[in-house]
Amino acid sequence: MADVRGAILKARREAARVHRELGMRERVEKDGGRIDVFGTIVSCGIPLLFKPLEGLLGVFIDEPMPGVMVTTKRGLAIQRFTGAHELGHSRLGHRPSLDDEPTLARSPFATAPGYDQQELEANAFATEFMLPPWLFAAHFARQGWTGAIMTDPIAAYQLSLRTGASYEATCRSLMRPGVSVIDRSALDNLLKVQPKAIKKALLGEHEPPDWWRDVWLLTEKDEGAVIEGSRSDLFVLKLKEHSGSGYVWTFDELNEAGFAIVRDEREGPDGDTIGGHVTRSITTQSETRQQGRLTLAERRPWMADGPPLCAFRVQYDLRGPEDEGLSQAERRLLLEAA
Amino acid sequence: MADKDKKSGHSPDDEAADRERLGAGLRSAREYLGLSQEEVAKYLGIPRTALSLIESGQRRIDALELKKLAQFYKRPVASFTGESAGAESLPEDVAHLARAAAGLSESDRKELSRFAEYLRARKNSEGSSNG
Repeated sequence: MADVRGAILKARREAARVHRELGMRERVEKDGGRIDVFGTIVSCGIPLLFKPLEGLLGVFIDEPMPGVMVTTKRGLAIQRFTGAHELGHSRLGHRPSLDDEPTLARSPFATAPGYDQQELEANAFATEFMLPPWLFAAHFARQGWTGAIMTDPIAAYQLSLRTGASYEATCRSLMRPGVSVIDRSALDNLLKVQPKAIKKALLGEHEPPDWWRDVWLLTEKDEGAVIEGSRSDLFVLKLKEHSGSGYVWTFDELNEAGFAIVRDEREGPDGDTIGGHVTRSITTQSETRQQGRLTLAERRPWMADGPPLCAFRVQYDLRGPEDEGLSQAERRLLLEAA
Repeated sequence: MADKDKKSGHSPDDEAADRERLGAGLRSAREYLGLSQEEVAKYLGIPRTALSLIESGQRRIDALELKKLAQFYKRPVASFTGESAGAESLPEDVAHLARAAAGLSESDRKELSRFAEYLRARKNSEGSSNG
C-alpha cells in the first residue's frame, strides 16, 4: 500500500523548495497570475519538448540527462499539470515514467490500491507546486473571495482560470489538507457541475463554435492583473458605468488590439436613476494568438481628450496551449540571448 | 581541378551530396524544436532566404554559422550529418517501460526514441562545450 501521507509531505517540501529557489511567491503575489510551470522546468536546466503524443500525456526520462516531454493534444491546463507532474519526477529523483491520463487523473489525496508510490508523489508535487495555499490566498485577497463563495461553481471556475489548473483539480485542491476551504459535500456539489454549464451561464445567449474554450469573467477586481490563457478564450467584462453622469466605457482599444466584441449590453438599474450607474457587460474574444497590454477608459464622449473617470488595465498572454517543439518560455530565452 | 578532386577522393558531386545531407540535418533539427526559419535566421543574422538555401543544400554554411547553429539547437555538429547517429535506441529502463505499456502507439514509440536521441545529442553537446 502506498504511503499517502509520506508522499504528500515529501512533495510539499520539494514544491516549497522550488518556489523558494526561484522567488516565485514574491513574483506571483506582486503581479498576480499563476505559477510558471514550463519556465520553471527550463530554469531547472531540464530539456522540455512538446510533441503530439497520442496515448500519453507526458514522459520523464532520466538518462543520459533528465528530460520532459508533454503532449500537444490537450489544453493548456492539462499541459501545465502534466509538466508539473514530470517536474516532480525529476525533482524527487524518480525513475523514468510514461504517464497516461489515468495516472495523472488520480487524486494524490485518496488512497487507492495498486497506486505506484512515485506517481503518488509526482501528483502530490504537481498539486502543491501549481496550487500552493498562498496562491489561493493571493487570488482570494484580490477578488474578495471567501471559502463560502467557493461553493459557487462560477467562482471556483474563475479561480481555476487564474491559477491555470483544470476546474476539477482546482476544486479538489480546495478541500485538500492544508487548504480546507470547502468540505466534502461542497466538493461533490462542485464536481457535479460540468465546466460547459458554467461557461453557458457566463455567456448567456452567445454560443461559441465549441465549448473547449474558457470564459473569463473580468471585473474591476482584475484591474492591473495578468491574464494568461489560450488563443480562443472568451472574456466577459463587467464594469460599472456612470452613465447617469454621461460617462461610458469605450472599447476602440479592444478592436485595435485584435479583439472582437460579440455581445454588448447594459444591466440595471431599474428605471431612470439620475446620476446613477449601470453595469456595462461586454463579451469579447481574441481573434489572434497574442500577448500585450490593454487599457480601457470610461469617459464622457464629448470630452474625449480629458482624463478618464476610470481606467481598466490588464496584461494578457493568450498564446496557449503550447505548440510542438520548445516551450514559449525557452524560445523567448533563446531568442533574447541572440 | 577535376584531377585535384579525384586525388582528395571528393568530387563536386560528393560535395553537393554532403551539403544536401548537412542541410537536411539542419532542417530536421530546427523542425524538431518547432522553430521557424525566420526565428533561426534572425538569430544567425542572415536573411531567411539564405537559411532556406542552406537547408536545401544550395548554399555553403561557414564554420562559424555551423557552430552557432549547433549551440542554438544544443547538438554536436556531427549530429547534423548523421555521423553520430545509429542511435534510435532507448535507454534500457525506458525501453522496458515502453514494452510494459501495452497500449503505446507506434507514433508515441517513435516520439520516445526521437526524444531519447535528442537528449543524448544534447548531453554530448553540453559535454563538449564544457570540456
